[in-house]
Amino acid sequence: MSEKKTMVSLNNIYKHFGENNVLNGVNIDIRKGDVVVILGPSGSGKTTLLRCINFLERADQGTITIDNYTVSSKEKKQSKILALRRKTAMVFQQYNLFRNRTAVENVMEGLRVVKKVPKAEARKKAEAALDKVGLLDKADFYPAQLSGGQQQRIGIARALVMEPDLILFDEPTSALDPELVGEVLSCIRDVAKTGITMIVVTHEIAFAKEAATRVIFMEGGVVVEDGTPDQLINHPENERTQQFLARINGAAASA
Amino acid sequence: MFQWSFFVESLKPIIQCMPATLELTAGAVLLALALGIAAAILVRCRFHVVNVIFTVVNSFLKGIPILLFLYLLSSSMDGIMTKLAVIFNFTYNVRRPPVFAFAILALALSYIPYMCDMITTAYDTIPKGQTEACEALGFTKWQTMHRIIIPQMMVAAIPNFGNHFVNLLKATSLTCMITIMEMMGGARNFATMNQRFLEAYTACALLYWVVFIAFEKVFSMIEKRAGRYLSAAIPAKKRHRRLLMSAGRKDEEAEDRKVNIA
Ligand SMILES: Nc1ncnc2c1ncn2[C@@H]1O[C@H](COP(=O)(O)OP(=O)(O)OP(=O)(O)O)[C@@H](O)[C@H]1O
Ligand SMILES: [Mg+2]
Repeated sequence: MSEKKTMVSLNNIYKHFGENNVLNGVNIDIRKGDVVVILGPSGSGKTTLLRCINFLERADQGTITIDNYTVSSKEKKQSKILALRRKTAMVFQQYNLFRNRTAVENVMEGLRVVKKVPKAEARKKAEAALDKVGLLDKADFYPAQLSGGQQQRIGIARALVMEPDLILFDEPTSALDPELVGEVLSCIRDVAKTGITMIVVTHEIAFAKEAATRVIFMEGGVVVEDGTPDQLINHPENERTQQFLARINGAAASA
Repeated sequence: MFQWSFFVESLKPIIQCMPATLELTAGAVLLALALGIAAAILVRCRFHVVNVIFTVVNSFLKGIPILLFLYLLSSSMDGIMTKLAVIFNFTYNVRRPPVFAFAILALALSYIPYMCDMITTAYDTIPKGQTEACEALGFTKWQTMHRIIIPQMMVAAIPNFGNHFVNLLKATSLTCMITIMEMMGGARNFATMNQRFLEAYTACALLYWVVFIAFEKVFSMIEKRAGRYLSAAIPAKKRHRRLLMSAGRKDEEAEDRKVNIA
């Protein structure tokens, strides 16, 4: 494992909103092919951290390195930020599919606009990506005509088709009806198997156990504990991790 | 007594003035839209001073009656044209003043704030997630606007645009006060010549209504077609295609996957 190269490196990330210090020096190195699940209570800064990685939110301090390309939070050149973003893709909690584009057009959009792929070729690639998430038959449907689970799988196809170095998932299943969670998680599991580097923020402990290669527990804007799924979920050392897991398990048991 | 013969007779001269009404409307709508887009950008400008200034300008334009704009512009027309003639070095014929152009300008000016509001409202209806999805893919600001945001804004703006369009169309009737022969002017002309006011104005009302209905229909059709993607209804054509495709192996795989989860 250790000979695998570092793909992502988050260095000393700080971020505040007004009085609220949301990220207080986050340092994470991620190797190529790692599937990192980030756990943590609400408000611990998980979403903010993901959004700082692709500069949807600009960190106050720190640097982001992806595939040996480093951008500082102080970077002024928009072109550098765009270049970093183009190494990543994001799957949103609310899917955020383009409402005015059909499923296949949603997947093609990034290829056409960012990678300047010709239309026919982009369509071919997009259809292949839709096939991977099992939705080729919905290619010509608009997002409004699809279920949440289907929309999210198209969101995943839209991310995959860009062949990014890193995919960011922000609670990809938490807006879904319970009966649709499974199809999306299994889709993400399939993606994880392809060896692409991923960071997944989720409250699905079972998913973390089974699909993650590494689990990080965040609280108060810092990394509290970091380890393999077995270490962190079955044998957490930190007291706060233990409390968090006990709460989640309690909630799951009472649900 | 209402005499039908005069009513029928008056239709023709009013219809002959219809192109003028449509030209005034089209000209004013296009000009107001262009200036309204500029105003919307300035109102939403990041520099606070600029957006305060333009918010005040908008409110000012909104507060002035259209007829007043028409009088203001037509009475200063000769002055303005003589000045322009000097600056741009052309000869201005006082006998043929550009009343029509000034009428369009007056109408447009009074509709700038409405067009501006229409655009900012449309922008606000687009969920933030649409922009963020573009940004996450690495779109530039312009790519985000012209591929995703502006097309959705246009759809969101259609109902308001339709309203402004027909309101402006009716407002063109005011331009007869500065001697323009549009439908209202045509009706008034016929009425005074024949001393038949009721007939001419009834005919005029009927014709305005016909034009109004036509545009209402057009806009509601555009609205339906353009906004299709927002509706959850699945067109029959696609349903058919889905049936054809699901005969293949894809759905079996999807079924397998669901079983695996359970
Ligand atoms: N744009 C913003 N403006 C102001 N405060 C913000 C903004 N975004 C996030 N916050 C605040 O930052 C803190 C961390 O938010 P964040 O969304 O990162 O938490 P999270 O760990 O993702 O929580 P959850 O599990 O509820 O999604 C919260 O207190 C939130 O209110
Ligand atoms: Mg969050």
